[in-house]
Amino acid sequence: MLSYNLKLALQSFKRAPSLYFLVLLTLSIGVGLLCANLALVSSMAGDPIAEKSDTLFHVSMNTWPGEQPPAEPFHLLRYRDAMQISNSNIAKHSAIFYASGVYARDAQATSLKRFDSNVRATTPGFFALTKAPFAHGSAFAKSSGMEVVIGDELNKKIFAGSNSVGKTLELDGELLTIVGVLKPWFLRPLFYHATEGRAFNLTDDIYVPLETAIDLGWSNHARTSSTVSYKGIEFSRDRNVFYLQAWVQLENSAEQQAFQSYLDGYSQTLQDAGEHPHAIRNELRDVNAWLAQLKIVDQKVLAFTLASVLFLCVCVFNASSLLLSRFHSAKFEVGLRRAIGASNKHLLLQGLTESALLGLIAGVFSLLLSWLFLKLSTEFLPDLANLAVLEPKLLLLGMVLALCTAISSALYPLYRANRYTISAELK
Amino acid sequence: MLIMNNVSRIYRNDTIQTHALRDFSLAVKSGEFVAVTGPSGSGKSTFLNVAGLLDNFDQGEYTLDGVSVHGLKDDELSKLRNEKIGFIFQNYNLIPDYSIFDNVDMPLRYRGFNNAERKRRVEQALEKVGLASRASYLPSQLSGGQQQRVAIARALAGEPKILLADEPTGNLDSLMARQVMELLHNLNKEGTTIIMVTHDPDQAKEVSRNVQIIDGEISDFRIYAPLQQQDAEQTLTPAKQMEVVDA
Ligand SMILES: Nc1ncnc2c1ncn2[C@@H]1O[C@H](COP(=O)(O)OP(=O)(O)OP(=O)(O)O)[C@@H](O)[C@H]1O
Ligand SMILES: [Mg+2]
Repeated sequence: MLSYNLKLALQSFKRAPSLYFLVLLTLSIGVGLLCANLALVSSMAGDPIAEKSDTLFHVSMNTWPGEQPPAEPFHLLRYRDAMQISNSNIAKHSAIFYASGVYARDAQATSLKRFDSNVRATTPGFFALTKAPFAHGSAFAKSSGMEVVIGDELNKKIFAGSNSVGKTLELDGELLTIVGVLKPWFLRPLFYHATEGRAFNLTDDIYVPLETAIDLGWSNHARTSSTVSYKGIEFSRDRNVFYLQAWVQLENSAEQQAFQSYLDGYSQTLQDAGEHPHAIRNELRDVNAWLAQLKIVDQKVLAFTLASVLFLCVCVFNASSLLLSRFHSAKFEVGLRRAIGASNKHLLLQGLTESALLGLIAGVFSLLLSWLFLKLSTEFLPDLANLAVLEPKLLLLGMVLALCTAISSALYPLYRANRYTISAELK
Repeated sequence: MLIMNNVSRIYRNDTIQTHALRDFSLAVKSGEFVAVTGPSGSGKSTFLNVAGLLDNFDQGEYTLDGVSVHGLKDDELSKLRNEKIGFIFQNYNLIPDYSIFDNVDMPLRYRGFNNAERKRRVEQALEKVGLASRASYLPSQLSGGQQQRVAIARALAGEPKILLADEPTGNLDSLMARQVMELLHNLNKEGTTIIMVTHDPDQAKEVSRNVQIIDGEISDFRIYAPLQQQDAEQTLTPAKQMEVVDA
C-alpha cells in the first residue's frame, strides 16, 4: 500500500506541478526563515562548554579604589587582585588574561607578509580550564617565557596547517617559539570573553604567557579602566589599572565556599588597610549565569524569531488553501476511489503519504533556504558571521518542522475531502 | 441477494425536502438481471446509489448478501463495496491519465492482493470484455463503447456478486450499446446478479425483470422470467413482489 500511495503522490505532483511547487515554496520559505533564526538563537543561547559549565566561575570584585565605583562588582580586575586569585590553591584551574593583538609572521620565511592576529595573554591554567583542544604540542607551563600556542586558523595561514611546533614566530618584532597548535576550536558564545560585545567572536589566534605580554608592553585591546595615568601596560602591575579577567574552576560547593571566603578575606585585609573604600562584594558566576547576566541573546533576534513563527503560520494557512483547491479538483477521483472500495482510512493515508513526501522535499528546500538566509544576513550584519551556523540538530529540526507543517497544511483539506458524498461526482 | 424494506431517502435543502425514495421495497435474487426504468428524477439513481452503499438512507432496512447494512462503519461499508459490488456508470468514470490496466487495477489495490494476483485478475477481466490487447492504452485512445467495456472490466476484476449499472449505454450509439448489452447478458448467464437503470424499453424487456420507479416508489412490476416465457407477461403490485421473488 505504501508503494502505491507513493506512486499516487508522484502522479498527483505531476498533475498539478505548479500548484505543488507553490506549496513547496511557501512552506520552504516559512520553515527556512524560522530555521535560520533558530540557528542564530541556538548559537546565542547555547552552552559552549556544557560538560563543565557549572564548575567554571567568572570572578567579579569590588576593589575599585576611586570615587564613583561601577554599579555592580567589576568584571575587570587589576593585576594584584588577579594574582591573588591565581595564587590561591583552592581552584583546580584558574585563568587570568587580557586580549591583545599583534602582527605575526614566520620568522624563517622569506616573505615579509604579516598577519593581523588576536592575542590572548594568559596564565597557563587557561588551556585546561577551557579544554582547549591541542592538535600538536601542548600548553606553555609558566606565565612567562618566549613561548606561544597558536590557533588552527593562523597555523593554516602561516604554516599551511602543518605541525609548526618548534618554529619561531616574529610577533611585533619579538621572536617567540611555538609550543602548541590547537585544533579548530569553536566556542559559541565565546564564554571566556563575552563582555565588550565579544560574545560571538572567534577563539584567539595566539596565546601568550601573561607576564611575557605585559613585559613586552602588548596593549590591552578590550576595555581598560584606571584611576591613574600610566605609560604602558608594562607599568600596570602595581597600579590601579583594571583590565584583567579571571576564571576559576571549582568542582563543588565546598570549593566554591572556600574560594568565596578566600576572596572575602583578601578584600577584608584590603579594607582593614583602608584600600577598599566600597562594600566587599566578590561575585562568582558560573558560565550560564554569567552569560545570562550579560544578556548576550539579542532581543531583536528573539523578536524576529517570534515574527518568523507567525510568518510560518501564515505559510501553513496559505499552503492549506492551495491544497484545499487541489483536493477540491480531485473530488471526482476521491468519489471514484470510494465507490470502488477505498475506505476513508485508505484515502487519509494516501493524503498523508502525499503530504509527508511533500514535507520531506520541502525540508531539503528549507535547509537550502536557511543556509541562504544566513549567508545573506551575514552579508548585511557581519557581526553574525560566527553565529550563523546550521548545526546537525538544526538540520534535523528543519526536516521535522517541514514535515509537520506539510502534514498540518493537508489536515483540513483531507478532513473536507473525507466528507464528500461519494455519489455526488459520479454520473 | 439484495433486500430493501421500506427504505426512504430524503434530500433536505434549506427550503425543500425531496423524497427521492419513499417506502421503497424490493428484493433481488441471486442470478437475476433487473432493469430499473422510470421518468427522469424519479429516484432510479438514488436507488442504485443506496443499493451500492454510495449513499445512505433515512429509514427502512437494507440487507445485502445477508449483511444488514444499517450502522456499519466506513471501512466495513468500503469492504462490502470493494468485494461484493461492481459499479458501471453512464460516463464510464475512467481516470484519463491512467492506462487501461491501471484503471482496472484500481479496486484490486484496496484488496491487498499481491502483484501477480492483481495482474492475473486484470488480464482476465480485460480478456472477458475483449480488450486484453489494449491494456497499455489510455482511455482517450479508445471508443466510447470500448471505454465502457473497460469500466465493466474494472467492475468485474474484484469478482463481485452484484453489478450495478446506471444507464451503462446512455452515452453510446446503438451498435456499441448492443455490444455492451451482450456483454452484460453473458456475465449474467455466468451467474452475476445485475441491476441496471435504463431508459430503453427494449433493453428492459430483454431482462428477467423490470422494475419501474415513479416519484420514489415502485409503480409497476413486470416479470419476464424465465426469458423464454416473455409472452406470459405478468403484472404485479409492489406488495406482491416479495412472495413472487422468494417463490
Ligand atoms: N444530492 C441531492 N441533493 C438534493 N436532491 C437530490 C440529490 N440527488 C438527487 N436529488 C433529487 O432526488 C430525486 C431523484 O433523483 P435521481 O437522480 O435518483 O433521479 P433519476 O431517476 O436517476 O433521474 P434521471 O433519469 O434523470 O437520472 C430528484 O428529484 C433529484 O432532484
Ligand atoms: Mg439517474
